[in-house]
Amino acid sequence: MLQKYTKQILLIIIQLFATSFIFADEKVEFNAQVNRKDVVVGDPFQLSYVLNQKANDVRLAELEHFEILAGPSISQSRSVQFINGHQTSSFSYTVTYVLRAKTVGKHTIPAATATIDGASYKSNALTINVLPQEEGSKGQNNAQPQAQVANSQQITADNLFLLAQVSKTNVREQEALMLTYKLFYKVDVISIDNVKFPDLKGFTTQEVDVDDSRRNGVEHYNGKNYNTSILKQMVVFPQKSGKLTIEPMKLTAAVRVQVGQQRSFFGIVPVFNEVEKALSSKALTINVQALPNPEPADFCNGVGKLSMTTEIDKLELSANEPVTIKVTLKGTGNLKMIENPVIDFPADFEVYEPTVRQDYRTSGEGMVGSKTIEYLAIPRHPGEFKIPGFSLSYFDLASDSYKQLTCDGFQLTVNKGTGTTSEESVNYSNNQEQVKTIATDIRYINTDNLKLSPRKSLWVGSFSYWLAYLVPLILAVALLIFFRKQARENANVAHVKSKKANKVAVKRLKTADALMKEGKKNEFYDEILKALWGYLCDKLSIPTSALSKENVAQELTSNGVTTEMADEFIALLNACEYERYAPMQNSHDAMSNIYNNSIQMISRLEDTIVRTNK
Amino acid sequence: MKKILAILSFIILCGSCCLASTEQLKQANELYANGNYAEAAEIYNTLLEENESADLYYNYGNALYKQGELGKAILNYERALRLNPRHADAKFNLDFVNQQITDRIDANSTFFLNTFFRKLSRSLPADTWGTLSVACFLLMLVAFFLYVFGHAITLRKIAFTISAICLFFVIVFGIFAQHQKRYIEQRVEAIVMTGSVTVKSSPDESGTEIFVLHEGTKVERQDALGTWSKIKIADGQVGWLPTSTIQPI
Repeated sequence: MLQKYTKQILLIIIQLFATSFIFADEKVEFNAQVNRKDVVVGDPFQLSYVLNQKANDVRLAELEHFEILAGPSISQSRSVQFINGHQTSSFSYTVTYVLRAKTVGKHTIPAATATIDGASYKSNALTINVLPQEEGSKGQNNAQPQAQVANSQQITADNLFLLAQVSKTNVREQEALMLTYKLFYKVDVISIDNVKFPDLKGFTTQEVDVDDSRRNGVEHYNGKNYNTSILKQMVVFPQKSGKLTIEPMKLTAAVRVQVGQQRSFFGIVPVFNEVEKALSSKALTINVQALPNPEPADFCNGVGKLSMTTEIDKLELSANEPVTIKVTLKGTGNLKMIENPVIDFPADFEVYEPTVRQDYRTSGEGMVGSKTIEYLAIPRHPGEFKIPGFSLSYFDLASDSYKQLTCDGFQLTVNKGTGTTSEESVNYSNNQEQVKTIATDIRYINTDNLKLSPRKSLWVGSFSYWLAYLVPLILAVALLIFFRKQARENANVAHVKSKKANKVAVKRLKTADALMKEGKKNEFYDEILKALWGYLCDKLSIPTSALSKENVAQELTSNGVTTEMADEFIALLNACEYERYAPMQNSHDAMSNIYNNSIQMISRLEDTIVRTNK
Repeated sequence: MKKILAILSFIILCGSCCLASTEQLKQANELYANGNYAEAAEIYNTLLEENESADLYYNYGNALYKQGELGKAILNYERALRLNPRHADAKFNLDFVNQQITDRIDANSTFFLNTFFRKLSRSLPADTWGTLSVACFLLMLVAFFLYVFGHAITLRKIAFTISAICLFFVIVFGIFAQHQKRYIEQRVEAIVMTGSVTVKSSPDESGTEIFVLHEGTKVERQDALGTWSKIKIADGQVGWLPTSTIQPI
């Protein structure tokens, strides 16, 4: 029997050793733990170091703010599990101390060291929040203010209230401040309802994530220790200067209170009830100081602490190839509100909207992190281009002044596109571009041909202006009158001649008659011809030289004389000429015949021409 | 002899004056080129006290605009255009600056012939219209002579038609000249020079406020009473404002 037992015991021991060998291969875990992180001065609490291997020597660091009441006490535990044939086992080696805090404040328990198989390991450090003792309760050294069971009357502003806390009350415009809404309680709060966060007018807000480890705690406030719970925490940036008010937050808390005691089978049992209590935090006033005036022209709205780096991916490239400029703004402050700097790419570049990448987390100082702005541009034509530098200013809170960040710009060489050059050049010749208007401005001053003339009155309406009309008019009228008169006089001469034509002819005929009686044949015919021609010339106002036998018929007909009469007139002229050179036969008869015919002809012509003239 | 000397010295004085002015002008242009607009404007202004030229008004307007004096700039562009309605640069700059002033008034639509007539008469200086009118008058006289003393019937017919057409133009151009002269000499139009001025219904501080005009707006002066002027704006609204707030073009 004994042999049987010893065999079993041996097996177990072998197994245990085997497991401890397995542990030896595992990574050493060395954790410091406390049973609570918030303690009151003088209040004992437990500090334990948990290892997954047996340590030879666990040495505590020097503790300044704590005193050791008891310890070290060592405990070991081992567990082995078989699940579905798979073996898992764990081992823990715990060294426990009981400590007591000596001074108020946030104190660190430095890392402890342990030696395992000659190697030394370090544990994590712990931070303990040591609260002062509550006034008037020296005896009770309980850091956790127990959720006391109270009567409904006992729920006062003393043991349940809401507090809005800000990290600072005097800030610059746009300077970040942390706003925390916390519930302080010493009663048993079951639930929270009807939460109304105020509209934060004049602020922009950025919520801070509160993880569970930070949400609940213990705080000393007005001489008492409270359980606290963070309801909301955010970083706010005042947007205008002056006194800004943070309106109160409101909520309803349900509290469990004891309303009495009941005797029951188990003895005396307290009876509880839920009581609702409306809570409101106090309004806060923030003094916001405006940023100093004047703002720099390139002010980017940034307040805090900033640094800038600029990068260009290449300085030499081919046409139609993109170039990227990366501007990184790093720092703390209102990163979200910072305006992107403007880069004036040459007008010939195709510029795309910058892409903005923001990488920041929220902290009490505002946002911490970086903002990266990438500018993408594509030069479409080869050449040397200067991308001008730029600057931006921010308000530095540390020095309380504006600071400028600058970038010097880049010199870019754009080559003709390689490879597909021919294609590109063809494209270029086909793609004419409309001349782009970049900006408009007034035209430049006139510098040439600038005539300076003394002030003068207008010519229009002046005396000389009217004279310019009057003088030509007078001249014209005078000339008109003069020419008219001349014409009239000329007309008179013709008229007189025409009127006298008959008389002249009669006179000549009388002379001819006398010559005929004397028998002077030649002179007679000359006188007759003269009388005929002269009559016609005077009558028709035609100069003697302009009249010949050839055109006489035409002139006569145009003056209303019939063709027969014109023919007779020409026949008469011919007869005169014939008779004049003919041999002398019956000359007297012929002469008297011609003479009579002439008288007859002239009187007939006189009748016709006068009639037509009238 | 004394007379001749006096005339000679007068001519020399005038010449030297002119020389000094051109020198000053050059200096002002240089100042403008260097961006020293305030000093350039001052010189242009002193030059304008004795001389008159559309270009000078134009340059002065530019210098004022560069200093942000929109109202004064507009006033001087308008003055340049008054002297030379065909000054393209002044026209361009006036339109440009007019886009930057506060007031935008939609002009009342008037009868199109009225607008046409007004625009046409404003397109040339008064003296040019006058000269054209006189030239047409002379042409008319010559044509008339041809008509009266011409022999051939066709020539006389053509001459008569020409003289009739010329007579028409003599009258039209003459009217334009008179119109333009009246426009220039009476200086009906004015520019608001103060930042903003409230136009009242009566020439009195206590009058009802009708509308508000701002710097650079063009108004038409219709009447004056004491220190008040009755004005009309492009959309036909009429009111009274202190004469000191406007400057005639």
